[in-house]
Amino acid sequence: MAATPNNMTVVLPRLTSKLDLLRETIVDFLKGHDIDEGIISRIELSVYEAVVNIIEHSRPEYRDREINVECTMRDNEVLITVTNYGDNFDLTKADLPDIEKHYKSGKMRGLGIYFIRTLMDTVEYSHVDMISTLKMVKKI
Amino acid sequence: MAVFQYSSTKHGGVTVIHIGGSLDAETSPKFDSKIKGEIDKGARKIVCNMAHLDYIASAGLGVLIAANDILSKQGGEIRLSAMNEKIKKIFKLLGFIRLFKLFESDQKAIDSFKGL
Repeated sequence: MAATPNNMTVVLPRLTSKLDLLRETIVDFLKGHDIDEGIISRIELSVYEAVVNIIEHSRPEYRDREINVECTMRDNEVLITVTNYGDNFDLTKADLPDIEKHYKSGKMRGLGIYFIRTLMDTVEYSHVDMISTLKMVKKI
Repeated sequence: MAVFQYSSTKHGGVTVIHIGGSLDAETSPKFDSKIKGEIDKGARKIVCNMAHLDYIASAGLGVLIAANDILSKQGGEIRLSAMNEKIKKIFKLLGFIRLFKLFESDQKAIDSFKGL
């Protein structure tokens, strides 16, 4: 029986209808590495929010550009790298909402970045030559 | 395509909705439309049973927050029931467990509305 590979990449169009497949692929990969289900659900949700954020905020002229999601197993952590062509938006520098105030305000949107930065251990962002790279690490 | 299930029943003055499947960016608009439909029809006390909810993204949570805000301005509220462990862990990690009122069962959530 072949060993589970330590690296996996999903290339997907900017369509929220394709995100089920992304979630399933990430979850299957992590289950193949016997990762705790609680950790898997945090990674699954963070990847989802990162990609939804790209899709919902990208310019119409970028809609044909694909998004790359790479999942890499390291010694004691999982590294997720999300790469896309687009404008510079550093979500690691965005102000996080006070969730009690957010809850009381009744706002429907604006929690995706909070999800990512709360559920993952480290989040790094870079933007070079119109390529945005988001690296998210979860300890296992 | 993500699967989302929704049903609702009346228990006296309390509307109990059961949601299941995936509540994400694709399915949240449907949930938003359904729950606002309940409010438009006069529902003020809503119990949301989450026993069969497998996944909730920020878009889904946003629908609950927004609907609760509409209800609170009309003297009502959404209370959550039968949340499974997977969803409960996410609510805990994100801090929403202390903001929504959670109950073990629909009946306990329904009873909690007595006097409101």
